[in-house]
Amino acid sequence: MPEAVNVQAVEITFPDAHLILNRSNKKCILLEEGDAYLRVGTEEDYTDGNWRDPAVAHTLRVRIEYLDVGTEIITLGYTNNGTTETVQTLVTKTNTGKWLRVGVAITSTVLFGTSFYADQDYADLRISSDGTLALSFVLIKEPALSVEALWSAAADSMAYQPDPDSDNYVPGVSGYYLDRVTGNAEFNDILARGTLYATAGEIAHWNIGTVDAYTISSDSGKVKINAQAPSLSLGESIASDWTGFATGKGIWLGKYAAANWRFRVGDPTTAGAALFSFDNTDILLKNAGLEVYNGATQTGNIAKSGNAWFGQSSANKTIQWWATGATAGDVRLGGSGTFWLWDDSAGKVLMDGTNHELSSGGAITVYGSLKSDDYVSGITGSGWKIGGNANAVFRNITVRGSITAAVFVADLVTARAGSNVTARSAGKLNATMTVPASGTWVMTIEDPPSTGYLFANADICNVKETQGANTEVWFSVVRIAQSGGNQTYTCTYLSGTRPNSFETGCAVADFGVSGQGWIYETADATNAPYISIRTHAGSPWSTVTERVRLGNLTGITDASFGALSGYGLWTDNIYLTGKINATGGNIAGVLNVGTGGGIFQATGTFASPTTGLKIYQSGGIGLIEMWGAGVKQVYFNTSGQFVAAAGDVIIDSAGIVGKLAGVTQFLFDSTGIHTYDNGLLEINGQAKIAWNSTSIDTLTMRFTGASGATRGSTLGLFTADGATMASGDMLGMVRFGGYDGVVETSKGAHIYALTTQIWSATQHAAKLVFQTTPNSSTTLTTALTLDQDQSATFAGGVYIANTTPQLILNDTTASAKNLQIAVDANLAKLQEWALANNQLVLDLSSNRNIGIGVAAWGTSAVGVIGIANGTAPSTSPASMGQLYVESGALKYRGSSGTVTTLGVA
Amino acid sequence: MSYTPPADAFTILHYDSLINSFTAKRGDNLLSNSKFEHAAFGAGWATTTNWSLVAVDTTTPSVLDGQGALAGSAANSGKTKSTLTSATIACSALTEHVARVYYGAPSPTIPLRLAVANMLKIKLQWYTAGMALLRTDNLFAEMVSGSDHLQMFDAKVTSPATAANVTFSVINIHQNSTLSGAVGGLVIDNLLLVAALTPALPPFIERIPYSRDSEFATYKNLKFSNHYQLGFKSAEFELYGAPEYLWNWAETALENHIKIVYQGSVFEGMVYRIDVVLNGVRYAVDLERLANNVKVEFGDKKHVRVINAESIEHWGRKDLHDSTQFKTRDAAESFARSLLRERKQLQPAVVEFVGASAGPDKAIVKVMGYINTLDWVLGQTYGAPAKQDIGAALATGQNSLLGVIRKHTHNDFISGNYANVQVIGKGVPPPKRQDMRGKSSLEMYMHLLEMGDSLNRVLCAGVWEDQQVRLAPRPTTARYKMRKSPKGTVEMVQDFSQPVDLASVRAGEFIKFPRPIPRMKRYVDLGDDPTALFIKEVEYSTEKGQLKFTTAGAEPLEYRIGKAIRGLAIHRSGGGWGA
Repeated sequence: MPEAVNVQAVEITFPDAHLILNRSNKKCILLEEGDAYLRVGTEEDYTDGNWRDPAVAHTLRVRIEYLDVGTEIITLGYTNNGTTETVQTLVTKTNTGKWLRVGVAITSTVLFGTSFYADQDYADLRISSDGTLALSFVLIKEPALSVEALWSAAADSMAYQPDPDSDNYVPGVSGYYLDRVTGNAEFNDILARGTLYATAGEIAHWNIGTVDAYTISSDSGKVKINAQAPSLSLGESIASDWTGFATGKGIWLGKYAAANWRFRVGDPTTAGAALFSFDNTDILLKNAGLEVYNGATQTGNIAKSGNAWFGQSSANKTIQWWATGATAGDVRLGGSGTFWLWDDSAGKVLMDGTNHELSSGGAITVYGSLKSDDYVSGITGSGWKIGGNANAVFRNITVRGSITAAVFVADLVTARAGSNVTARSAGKLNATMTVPASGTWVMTIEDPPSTGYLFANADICNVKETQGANTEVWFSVVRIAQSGGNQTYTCTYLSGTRPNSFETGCAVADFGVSGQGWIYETADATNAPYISIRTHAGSPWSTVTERVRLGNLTGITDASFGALSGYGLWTDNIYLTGKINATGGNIAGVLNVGTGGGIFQATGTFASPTTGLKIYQSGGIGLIEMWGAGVKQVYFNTSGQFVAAAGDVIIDSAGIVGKLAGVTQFLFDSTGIHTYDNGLLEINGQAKIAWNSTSIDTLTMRFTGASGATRGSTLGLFTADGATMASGDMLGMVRFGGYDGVVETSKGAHIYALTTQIWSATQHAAKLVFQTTPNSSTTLTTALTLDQDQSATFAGGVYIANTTPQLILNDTTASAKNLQIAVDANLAKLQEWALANNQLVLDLSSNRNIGIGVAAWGTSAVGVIGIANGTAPSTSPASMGQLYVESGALKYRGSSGTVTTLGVA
Repeated sequence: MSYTPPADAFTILHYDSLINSFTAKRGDNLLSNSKFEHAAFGAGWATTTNWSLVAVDTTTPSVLDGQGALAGSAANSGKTKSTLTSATIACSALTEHVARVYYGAPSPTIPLRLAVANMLKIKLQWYTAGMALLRTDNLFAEMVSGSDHLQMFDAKVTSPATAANVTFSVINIHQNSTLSGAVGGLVIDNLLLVAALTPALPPFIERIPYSRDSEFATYKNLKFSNHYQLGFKSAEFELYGAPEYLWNWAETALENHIKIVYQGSVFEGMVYRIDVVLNGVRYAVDLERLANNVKVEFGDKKHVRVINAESIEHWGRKDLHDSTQFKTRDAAESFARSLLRERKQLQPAVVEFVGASAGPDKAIVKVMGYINTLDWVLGQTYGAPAKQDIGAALATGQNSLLGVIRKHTHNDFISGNYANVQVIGKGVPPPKRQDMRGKSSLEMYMHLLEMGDSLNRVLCAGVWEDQQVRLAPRPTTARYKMRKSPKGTVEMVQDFSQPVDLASVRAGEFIKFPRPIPRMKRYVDLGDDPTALFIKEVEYSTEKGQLKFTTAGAEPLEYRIGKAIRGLAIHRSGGGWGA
């Protein structure tokens, strides 16, 4: 130690001290991916600026001894503010398996005695590793205070002797260091006044004797100078003795044997590797080429393949040959431009450079055949050939004149460019034809092989010159003569460019007279391609009528279909004996279908459709069928019926019948409207239902409910909305209109006229009126009125209006008693009407009184008959007496006229 | 003996064990499939790298029940890292959590010192609701030695302020290439992570009325004492009832919380020993005998520790540091295992045959104040990095002595409410760890109290009502006074001359006697007053109706004072209930 040092204690707070182990002959603590916490200094030093005073910042160096297992880093954690941790790498392990020491200057100041590691018994430092952490001692040193603190796994911590080093020692950076254990040392400059002895060493990256004996080397032995076997070797794995000449990649120069000095460059042992050497006898160049330069210009090259050239430059070689490759054996002579080439593989000489053409003029006698280099026979072959048997093969021939052939064979594929006209006839000028500015002229046509004139008199012809001015002339002809291989015609100008001249060989086309036509096929005209058949009316140069077109129909405007487009066939009539298959179409006129045919828009077959529409005739009857799922859903049958719903609905002259699962659901026929199987008839809106019955005996309408007390038939008449009544709403009304008023009591029609309606909406009255027509009368007469009209004079009650109105209450039991209330022209009477007992009982059992002409009785009167004062009768009818009250006295006048006072007034 | 029951009888309130209520046993385990009883780890475990499930009998040590988890496998060579991490678990912020792992390293014949790294790491990682990592608590990171029985590790951690999620990780790093026959690095079982509950009281069991006329389901001879530095010290009473009832007490009542109420005077404590006399035979069961964390030293300051996890889980941790020195680890471990075997569980045992003189069947129940129980908590290191007030060192924060006891053991008998702990004014330096090792927490507690306050006054402390800690310098004025009555008798009064209920007299107070000379000097601090006595301990007997003092004086003085006080009762009550 450089001076007296205050040795403090370092206590490891975690892991527990009892976990100190022996590893590799050292006591230590051992953790895997763990943290070791250390508390520095003695407990008393926590205040007054001492070591553990949390207010004092320490500049520290830390040295640890660790087991170098694994390659993880060992870090040191500490706090320099009491609240956050700073982590610094101490060392990266290199897995040597040895105990190593490392000293590190802590980059920041450190505080002791804080609460940062309070959970670890107020530790101050945390040493951690992601792998094995085995520590035998930790030395904390604060040079400024000359304080050292040590934790050692050895039982006697003071047995540890720290390595002497300078206070500023940082490995590889500053200070000095001397390891007591290994004897290793680290200094900066060393001045040796005496002799330095070393078994090995390294100076400026030169290794002395550490790679090979007697050798100075660097770069891991890639550069070596051997003092024992004089040599200089540079490269990979080259021995520095004489064996280096024959092995290793690089350069060897030295003494191979006595009086045998050699050098070599390259790789002598690897097959195919380049090598340049001198073996004391020969200079060898293996697996390498030779390049010759004139200044910066390469003038020659010998490749290791044997290819070589020499010349003025690489662009202007005088001689060049090839020993390998596709051109092996070839020799080229000559500089730039033309040259001769011996093509060794073809065994020929090519002249005039790379065009490979024969360059000499005049005729060349060819023995055998003449052909292009790419000639391949056959119609799909290539190149050309002229054979010794006078056959020739070409692809395209341009012939400015005509082609004469004994047989003209068109091959499988021919092509013509532009447009083509097939006219009535055509010939070839056999002499120049001069068209004057006016007047006629003579045209000479080559006589065709066949006999006869090519053109008829008055034919309109056309000649066209396409190679020059591209002009034409239309003219008519008149035959003149046929002789000497020529035919001559007198021509009359019709249209075109004149004066004009047409060379021998020009074709003349004959378009005939008016009404005749020609075939025009084109691939380059407007709207091409198409084939057109046309006629003319005497002026084919200006007015042409297209009759037929096959191809692109664009440009045609049809009277029925308008402007056409797309490809197709257009003409007047088409007669087919086969079928038409099309994806669509229009027929402007009537489509006639034969009696055996039909119209079929469906899937399946015509005979057995699956879905769709089928129209045909059978037995002279037109039929329409609509199919679905293989079933005729809707159709007309031969019976004249319209059948729908796959046969469940039938409409015919008998009516309409609807079925469900074969059971009739409804039937409209001459007998009426029938619904079955709980069918309903519902009519909405202001619908009316009228039953016209021709017989009174027919039950015209019947509502029948099911059996049971609560399910009787019900007829409901509601207001418009069936709910709330509003002012002005009219109740439903049932009106019976009698035929002529005849009462058919025998049919049970006791009521045959009835009207109900609101009489006064504002007073909510109701009125029920029975009216009828009397016998032999058409005038309605009210028979009974039930009235609840508060504003009417007849307010409430039963009102019967008749000439002899009567109300009979008839008891139909055996002991029948009847009460009749009747009015006739003379009196109103209440009588027991029936004839059984002829008794009328006035039942006053309920303590009532009877008043005749009075309405008031004496007090407490019960069962009293009160008679008002009357007028005494003046006569005495026979067979009766008269009882009356006069001036308050009850009197009786007998049939004899005697008046007896029964009671005084 | 003539006897008149007092108007206000004592009442004994009987509660369940505090250790059953204050620890993890009361909370829901946050871990799913924590005992690995399912056929697979299941969704509760997000990472199970190199862990597999094993049955009870396929490993040594055997796991606790059906299945446990095994780290590594024989198929792996070289260092194997096995990581078992739970799925993310929702948690509450600033809540104390208990984490526990039963673990064991296979092959007990392979000691730790062989070149086999077998590292066990247990950590909790706390996250925000958005899963931003807040804090990593590395709870455990040590090499594990082979053993034929499971060890248990548990710790308490308080979650960070904004914690909403937590993950629980158990990591084993094992170099099993050199461990022939090893089937894995570690077995674990019965993992626990629970938010600890701190109820004010454990579940109530019964109320035992005071009825001296009945010989069944009642008690007699109640005595209790309190101490100026312990608070409630001890109590004892005889319990009468059916034999089955008394036997049930013997089997289940240890560590139960007992609260004795008499006129506003309260005693609280833990059932510590029970002697049951049935048919003339006395059986006894005593917590003093229990030990489940045994430490035996060997060599040079080395020790071996063996624990019994099941016993700790059942009784709470009770340390035994045997001072016997052994030369070798093997010898020390054998001895430790022997101790553990004998003391890990408690059950009543025959003590003596009393015979007919025993009288009716009864149970003699001894209740201990909670500070007294700290005698069994050993080697807890505590303290701040710097000098701190005694009050803080004793009972403020997690790193105080009581805080450490609460944090590192499950002896939650003492409330964490330190509101009645005063700043003493005297600082103490951080304790030296080597001095704390092997010492009981009660010794450290008394050591701190013996330092006194800044004026060197004695410190009064203790756990009083509601398990609450109180700490303050002794008073300077008298709470109790002796005075002469007009009749010439002497009586004891307090608080403006109100007569004293003898059962409510507390230790840690001064009792002032009349000045013998009227012009005698008056002292500001009664500690200097020759007419004042400081009460160190008080013992009250309901049977005798007597109060017994132990004062800070010599024995003769104590004796005479005690005699004087015993005489008080006769004059106060008009006779009848004194001895």
